Amino acid sequence: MRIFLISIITVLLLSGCWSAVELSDMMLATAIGIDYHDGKFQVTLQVINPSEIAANQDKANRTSVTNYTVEADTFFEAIRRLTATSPRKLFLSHIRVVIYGEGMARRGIADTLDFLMRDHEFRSDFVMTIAKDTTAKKVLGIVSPLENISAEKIYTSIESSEKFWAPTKEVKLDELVNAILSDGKQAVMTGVFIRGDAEKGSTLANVETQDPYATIFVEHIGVFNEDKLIGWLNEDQSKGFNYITDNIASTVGRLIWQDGRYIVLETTSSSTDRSVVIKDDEITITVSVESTANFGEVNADVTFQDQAVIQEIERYAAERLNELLARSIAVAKEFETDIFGFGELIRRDYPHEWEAKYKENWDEYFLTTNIKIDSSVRIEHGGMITNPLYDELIHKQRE
Amino acid sequence: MTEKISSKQFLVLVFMNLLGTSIVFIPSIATSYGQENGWITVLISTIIGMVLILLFNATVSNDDTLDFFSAIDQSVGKIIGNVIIGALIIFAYYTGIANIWALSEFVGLQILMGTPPAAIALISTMTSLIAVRYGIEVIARSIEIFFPFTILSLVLLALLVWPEARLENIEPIMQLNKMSTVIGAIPLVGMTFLEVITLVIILSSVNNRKDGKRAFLYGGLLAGFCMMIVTFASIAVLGVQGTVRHTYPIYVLGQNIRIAQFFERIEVLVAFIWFFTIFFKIATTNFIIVKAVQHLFKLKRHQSISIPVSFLLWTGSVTSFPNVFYDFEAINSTYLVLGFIVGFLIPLFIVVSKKISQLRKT
Repeated sequence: MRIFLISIITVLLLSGCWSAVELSDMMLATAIGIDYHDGKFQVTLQVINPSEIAANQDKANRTSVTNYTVEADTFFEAIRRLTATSPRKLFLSHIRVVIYGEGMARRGIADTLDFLMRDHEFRSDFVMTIAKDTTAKKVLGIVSPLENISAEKIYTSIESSEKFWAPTKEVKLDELVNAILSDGKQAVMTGVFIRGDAEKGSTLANVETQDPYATIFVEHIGVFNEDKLIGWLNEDQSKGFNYITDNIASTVGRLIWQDGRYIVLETTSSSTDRSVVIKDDEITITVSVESTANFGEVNADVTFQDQAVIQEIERYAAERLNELLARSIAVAKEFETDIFGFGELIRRDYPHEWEAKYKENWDEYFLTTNIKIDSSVRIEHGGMITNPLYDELIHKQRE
Repeated sequence: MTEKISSKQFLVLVFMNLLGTSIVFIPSIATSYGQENGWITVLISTIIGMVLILLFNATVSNDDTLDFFSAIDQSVGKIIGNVIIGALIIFAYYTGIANIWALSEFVGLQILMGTPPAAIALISTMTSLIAVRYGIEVIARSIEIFFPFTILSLVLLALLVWPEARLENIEPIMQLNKMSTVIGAIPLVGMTFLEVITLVIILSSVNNRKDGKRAFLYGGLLAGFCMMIVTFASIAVLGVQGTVRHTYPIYVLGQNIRIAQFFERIEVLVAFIWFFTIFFKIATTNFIIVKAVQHLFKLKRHQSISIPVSFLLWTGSVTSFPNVFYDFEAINSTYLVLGFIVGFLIPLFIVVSKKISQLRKT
């Protein structure tokens, strides 16, 4: 009797092994590329080649990742159809990036989002991007130096460039869907593009030279209207976008000082306050940026003995910043989409007016809003040297 | 042999029973009604819940020697008393199968992917059967052990998602959707505080009944507070849309924990909260059904019927729910009505009839 009971209990424990899959039986996918081709979804999956990733092993002459591409009428079908070409079952939990081809993004991405959210294998911590001027398949095909897995490279590039360079934005699935569904905000996504020879870049030869044939760049922010890509912000405009949405950790900006000589400021922190006032049906939004900067590079005829000089530079930098932000806003108005989420600001501060009036046609009202920009820059540190080298050099030359 | 538990154990038991299941469903249900005011909906339902618990407390007499069943028989008579106990059994049964089903669905979908829910339901029901056979003292003591873990997981979850929270998600506070914010409290109360009516049966096992009643209130308050914090965090981190759309927002909340690039992918933290609370809820519910059946049929030992009851719970949980979406429909219709009858009308009836019989005596 006792043995009978024990065996029953042991059998119960086995239920956890119901759909057990051994690690050696599955493929880890790291990136999904989605293109639209002749009325069908063309899905490219990048999977890890485990023996190439493992450390301390003799590496065969193979790439670390392999891409599989299939076409199907729907997104989910395409992913399942991959098993027809791939040797093992796919495991999707380790996806780092999802890349839309530009054509796909312009067509509209709405019908891919439901699956990405619904399927339980996905974790929603991957980054969403667009392959600028190219297809996702090509971007994923580039063999990347340093980082073996190009999906990982794109992910870390976006992360670090958002932190140190600013004109990119790490957009996660949740944020994207919220922005697409929101009435008072439009979506954005960072672009990735290939610089160089894409053909040669997709061979292992790309990492055999010191100067790769092709590299993947992460830059520019794609502007959406609903779920369709309608245009791109250039580098400066993207930076301005991040200033306005308070998404600047650190960046570098150039000031043209006298005679075309320049000072480069390193922004170390920045915070943005946005407020809205509605008076007589006129919407006025104030964006005030407070940023702290260091001198990063000084190649102009200035000396820092006098506080007045520093203050002048601060004032001048603030002016430049105002212009930068104004250009971003002007471009957004040209695209007629409110990517900054000013509509949500109104919803928070004037909820009743928003519900009654602006909610339906916010993109139209957005065009007529007054946006005031008020930046201030404070300079704190000057690096390891005091007065610029330039100062002494120029005097020497004059002698 | 009468089993006794301390009032502190009862407090923890109330806490676990309130959080079981509801902690994963409440954020999305509250938010679907109240939008950005979802956490206020939870707050309102907690206030209503406090009133309900006062009502539940009033149904139990302060006389320590009288257990709940005999007290009911005394105040409303044997026949009506049996009807009331029968209704309690049906309600507890429904709660039980709903919880077992929810647990098996969640585990089957998120943790043991692909394992049939029926197998998970069988294991959890059979584990609760062991608990039931040991009796309420053992259940209460083990809850006491797991309570710190549950609280710790909750606190960790709330603290660790804080860097991801964006407070503008909860603005404007109480400006829009005022009506639905308040109305949303009704289904919330239905799936939380109305369910714990069954705990009055255990209340009579608390050694000091006055302290036990206070513990009932405090346990409810603490659980309501935790639900509010979790809902608040869900809305602040995932946004209104994100909270409403996900079946298990709290799990997605756990997936959002991301500190300094290495402290991530720890959503199993949420599974801890979920496992502990729901298991003890299943065990307690199972125990209550067994106790009530024991009283109805005047059995000597409650263990005699524990096995059939457990199997009924299991089959019920496997066969009663056609699909996931039925769950939300039931919460807003069938379950709410049943909860209202058993959790509100019956205690009200008991209290009123008690008052009347007191008046007659004097």
